[in-house]
Amino acid sequence: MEDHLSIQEREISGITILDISGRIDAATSSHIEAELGKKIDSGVTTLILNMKDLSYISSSGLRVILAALKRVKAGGGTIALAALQPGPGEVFKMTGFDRLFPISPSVEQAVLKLKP
Amino acid sequence: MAVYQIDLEDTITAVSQLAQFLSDIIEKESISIEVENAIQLSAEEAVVNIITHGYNGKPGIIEVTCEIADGLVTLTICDKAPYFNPLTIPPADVEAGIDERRIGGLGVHLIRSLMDEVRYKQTDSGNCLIMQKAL
Repeated sequence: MEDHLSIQEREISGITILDISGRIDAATSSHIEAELGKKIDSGVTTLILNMKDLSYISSSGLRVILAALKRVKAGGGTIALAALQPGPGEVFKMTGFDRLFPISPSVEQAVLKLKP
Repeated sequence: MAVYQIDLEDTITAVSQLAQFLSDIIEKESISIEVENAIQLSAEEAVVNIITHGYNGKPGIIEVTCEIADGLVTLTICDKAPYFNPLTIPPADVEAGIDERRIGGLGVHLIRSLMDEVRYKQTDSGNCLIMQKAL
């Protein structure tokens, strides 16, 4: 079972991308909470979460990214989601989170939408 | 018919143990990805609610049974926490915008949305949540 969560950071056109792979559940959500917290604390207000390799997200993960979205929105920024897989995609739809976050089929398309 | 059972006691490792327990069943029973997501999520949400609210983060036993029979998967999750029926929680407002959104409260909504049938049973020693989905 792919039970670990790994997060890697890169930048395209000045926009921070977090490549997330594995599972975001109650056991791993503190990891992404810490990563998002660090980025936002350092002044980043626009982020793309690449979910191409995210196989699972539970309400613990939703809670963390909603809290992060609220923080960046307060600073005039946003968090965009890219390349959602069917399972996590279904969770975002069922909870109405697909209307709270801009969602793109790929990181490249998310960058195009967010580029100043 | 196949019945699988695990007792979770350690609140720190319960979620990982549960995920591995279900993952092994999913592989053995060749369960589809769609049903896999539903049972992993529903089980996690139920267990996390018991740990957080039922036991207030303190150690306590959670008995998880997964039964595969007649084209159905039945998850039964029982605790010895004070009586509480999670199905009495009002439906989450999933239409709310960002400003009105509460952080949390989506676990029971996900269980209701993902499973075909959800029942609550009070036992002599605690609570059981019984969740069913067609395979």
